[in-house]
Amino acid sequence: MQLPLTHFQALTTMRRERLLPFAGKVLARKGQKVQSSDILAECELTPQFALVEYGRGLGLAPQKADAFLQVKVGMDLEKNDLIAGPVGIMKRVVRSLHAGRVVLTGEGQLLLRLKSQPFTLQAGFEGTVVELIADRGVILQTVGVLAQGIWGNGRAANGIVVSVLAQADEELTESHLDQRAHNAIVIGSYVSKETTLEKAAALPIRGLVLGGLEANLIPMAEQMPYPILVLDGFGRYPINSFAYPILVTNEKREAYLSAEKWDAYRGIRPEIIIPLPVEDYPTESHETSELSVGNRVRICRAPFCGRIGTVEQILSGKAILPNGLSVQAAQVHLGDGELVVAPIANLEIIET
Amino acid sequence: MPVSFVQADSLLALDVGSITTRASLFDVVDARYRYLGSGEAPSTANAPFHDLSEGVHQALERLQQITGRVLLGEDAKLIVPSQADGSGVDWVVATVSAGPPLKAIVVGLLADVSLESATNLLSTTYAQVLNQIHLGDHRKLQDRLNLILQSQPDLIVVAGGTEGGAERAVMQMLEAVGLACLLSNEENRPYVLYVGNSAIREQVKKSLGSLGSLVLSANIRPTLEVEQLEAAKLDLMSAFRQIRCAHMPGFLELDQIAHGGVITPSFGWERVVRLLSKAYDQRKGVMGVDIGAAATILAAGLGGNATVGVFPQYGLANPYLRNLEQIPIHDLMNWLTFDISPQVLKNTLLTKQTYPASLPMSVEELEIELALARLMLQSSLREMRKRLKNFGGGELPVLPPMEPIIASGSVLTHAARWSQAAMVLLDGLQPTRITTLVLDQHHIMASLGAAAAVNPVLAVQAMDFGTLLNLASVIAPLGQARPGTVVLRAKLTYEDGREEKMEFRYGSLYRIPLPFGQTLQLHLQPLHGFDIGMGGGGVGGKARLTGSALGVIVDARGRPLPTIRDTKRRQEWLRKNLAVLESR
Repeated sequence: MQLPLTHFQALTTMRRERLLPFAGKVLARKGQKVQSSDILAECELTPQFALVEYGRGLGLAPQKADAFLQVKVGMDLEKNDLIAGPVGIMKRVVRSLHAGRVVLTGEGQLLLRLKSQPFTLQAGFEGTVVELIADRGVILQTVGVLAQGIWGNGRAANGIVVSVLAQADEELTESHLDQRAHNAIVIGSYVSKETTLEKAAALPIRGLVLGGLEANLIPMAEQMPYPILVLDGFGRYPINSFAYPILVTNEKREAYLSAEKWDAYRGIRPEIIIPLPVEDYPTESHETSELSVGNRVRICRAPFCGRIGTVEQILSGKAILPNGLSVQAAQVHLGDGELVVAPIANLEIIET
Repeated sequence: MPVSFVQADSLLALDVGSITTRASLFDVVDARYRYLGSGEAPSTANAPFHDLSEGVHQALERLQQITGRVLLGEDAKLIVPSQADGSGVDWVVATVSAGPPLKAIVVGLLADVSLESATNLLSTTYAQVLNQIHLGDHRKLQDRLNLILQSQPDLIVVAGGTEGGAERAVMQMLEAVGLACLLSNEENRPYVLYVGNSAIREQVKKSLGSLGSLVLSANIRPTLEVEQLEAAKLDLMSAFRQIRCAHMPGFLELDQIAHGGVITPSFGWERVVRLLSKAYDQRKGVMGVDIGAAATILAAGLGGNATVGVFPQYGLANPYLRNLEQIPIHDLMNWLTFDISPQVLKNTLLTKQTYPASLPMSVEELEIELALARLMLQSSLREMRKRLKNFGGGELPVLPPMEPIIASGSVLTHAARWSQAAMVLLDGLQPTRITTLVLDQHHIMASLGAAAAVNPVLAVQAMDFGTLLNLASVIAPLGQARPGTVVLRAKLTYEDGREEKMEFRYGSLYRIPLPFGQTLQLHLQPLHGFDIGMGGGGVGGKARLTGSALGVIVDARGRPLPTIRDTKRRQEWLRKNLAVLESR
């Protein structure tokens, strides 16, 4: 059975789509080496339109008003530019209330596409543009650390990685968030208190990487101005033993924290990328793999939620779980020597 | 010599769900259509596969292993029609529910008339209504335009104007839709389904026809009092198909091999329930429920008329829609027999939403999923109630008389014990009077609905022969009394001539074991005006019930079920209810 992979890799080659939210202009070129702040593409974020009823403004019937129209489709207007008129003794005119481009005219009405600040798509991390996607963006390739999560609050940022805990499994609290964390991507363990998230926002930090987050903090986490990435589970889970060392050993390096919502349909996962300065590109990460004996796996449901182990045996036929469910299952050897039976549906293959 | 209505054709039913892809084979055995088996594989609509075909292929390979029939040729293509050597199949039907719900906007004149009907129409398929635009919203044209463009809908349903009613106002509402279509890129242009006043169809066609995909359907609200969704449902199905063909790799290929094209499982459910409602007692409805990860479906049919509701917001783990804050955590806790903090419960629910295919491993987590299934059924039924008002039975919000109630969904069919599945249905639906609970243990009901379009005989016969599991016969007397009051007396006559008299008290649940293959004659006499569906309050009569997994359940706990505020007492009550169904 092919299962999707989760990556906690110290060195891998990654290709990531960097896309505009709406169609726009791609500025990068194929083969270009980019830094995290380089602009790859730009677009208007949400096109806004305004309807100008110049017929009514001139006090004329729509067909009559068209004769007094002073602009054409495609023209750029500034605020207060003349649109139609003058009409009558009072020299009545209609002027634009906004800057924008004329899209449609006729029957006494005009549709203006409003001018707005362009949205610019930054590279986010250092890499090479390996492919252009017309009007939408690029595929960027880089080499480095990759740790993928299960939840993100929808934000993204880059910054320097900082570890603030003395022990990997102690709760991250506001007392840990001192000047070291200022403007940094903080590697924590788990958070169970609102005050921790609030302190992180006040400091401010650039991002937060956690093993676990209590589900009742999710609404608040979604409102935080910085990206939050959860790697392991909902509750009190420290960062797993594979991700933690590769993150803390790369302290002081610049990372890109993409805390996008996990969208299995589109293949978007929240993750942290730390580009590394290496000459040769190692093998690219796989996206799926056949479950087999020897695979490193993580169990995603209680009572072993977040535990990582190795597949000892894929059971033929169905296994009966303690709750009576009859399932396709595998025997998994957990790190502490415990041997457990888990449904295959509850296993994620971990690539390290 | 018996006459057979069977054309000796085999049929393959493909069902691509959000988690599992199934291939089920039906063929003629002993002059009747039978279900031969299913092959399953994980669905591959999601990344990194992004192609339904891979999952379909794997499911077919598995089906070949199980049935021993060769279905795939050397070129890995499905063999259609069947060959002289026995390989291949004659008919292929397909249902698809994988992928995120369609993003839709409804446009109409009045919020409680045309918009309500347009929303009802959309609730028959996998759609999420992003926004509503209507005369009373007081938005300017530019605001409506910006709203549509920002929402980037897949589909806009335009309703409004009764027959012979408003025309100008509808055309006015269409201005924003037309402009949005004009200003959208061709690849993002929404599909427009017009279901308003038919007098202006030509004008609508003139305004929108050149701007992309426009379908003119029948008016869904021909008069203020009447809602007619039937014709529009077909066009909505067609819209769904076209949108998926354009955006979901592998869908088009499936649509091309499926006879009658791909349909949604909800459409299949509606069709099969309609078919059954013609065959069963015309005084009662027939109900189908499917509790899935992505959506809960309720379908009900009566005398050849049917209605269906798809509720993605009440799927057990819909990653696109579930907002944890919207789940009434305390309502959920009311169905648990153990203490748990809201925080831990939320952690569990969010984990399930993150991993929709995952399974509960502990007793407690299984109980949480079964509790969630009850809640999802109750919530879906609440939304469906208006559409069930023609199903008789009077006093809504109680479920009208339905027999049988056919249930599907892994949470039920793969439950550890049949008693758990039965309790979910009894608590979630609260059936009334006399009914039969049936489990669609192979998840084929929606496929049989698809099959009914090409071979109705197959759809009926395949249900007959052991494909469905008769879970229990249920007698749920309807009325009000003090707890402990005898509300029903019964004389039981078993096949061996043994007779027994029983009394059933208000507030309690009972089980009478009746193994498969046996029958039981019941002479029922309701007391205190209680109604068991034999002609009104206090009217009794005879019933002949057949054996099933759990036998006969007499649910005299009351409708609606009592609210027990004390946690310990409630937990004890839940444990007791389950123990009754598990008693020997």
